[in-house]
Amino acid sequence: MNIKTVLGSIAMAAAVAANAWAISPGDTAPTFDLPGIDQSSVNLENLRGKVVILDFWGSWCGPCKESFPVFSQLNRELTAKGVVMVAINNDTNIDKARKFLEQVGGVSFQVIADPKHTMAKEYGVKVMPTTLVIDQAGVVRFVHEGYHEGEDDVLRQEVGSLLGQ
Amino acid sequence: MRIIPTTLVLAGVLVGATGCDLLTRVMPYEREILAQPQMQFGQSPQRGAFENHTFESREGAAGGIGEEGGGCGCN
Repeated sequence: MNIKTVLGSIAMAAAVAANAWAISPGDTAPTFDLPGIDQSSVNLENLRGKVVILDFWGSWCGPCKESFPVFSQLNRELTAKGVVMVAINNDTNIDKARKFLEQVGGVSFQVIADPKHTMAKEYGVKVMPTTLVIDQAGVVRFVHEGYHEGEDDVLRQEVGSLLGQ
Repeated sequence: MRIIPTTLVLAGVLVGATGCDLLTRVMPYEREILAQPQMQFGQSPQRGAFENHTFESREGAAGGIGEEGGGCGCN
């Protein structure tokens, strides 16, 4: 075994350990066609031409609970501007997601189910929640890891910049 | 014959270099079960948090104990 093989293995191991890969601004957003929790399915391909806010969440995630009322209000504002907000749930038990939505109440955006975490893996989600802003061409432009107070204002500005406002 | 030792060494290097991270890594979107209250070490998360707070105050140091949330995967 030569030294290159060993060094290559170590580099690969380090990359895996660091979980270096994740979708970042400038990458094309992986498309999906997933069923809604209580609504019709969502196909990202069909949303080309629109700004899309994509949110990865789970019922066990505390910050997600904080973010939903804020994002619902944001969605009500932005829907008029043609922006689509979609939340991808990662619960393996969809009933937990339904219960969460009932508890939060008034969720105005579309919620789709991904119990096998297919898209969370595709997008390389490292933090819950993770929120991405995808432009009209299907390119990820902004990535937010976690939820912080004032996140909605930042999203407003980002979406505004994509809409040319 | 030489292939087997090489493979073993490579496997050893991979596992050693990653601290077994290759074998088990629970991603944040997979923590649904771990986040349940019954998956926590302590019987009472609230009491555990209180005891940690007391401990941190007494020791003058904080952190390294974990979170009472039990694997939320949040930031």
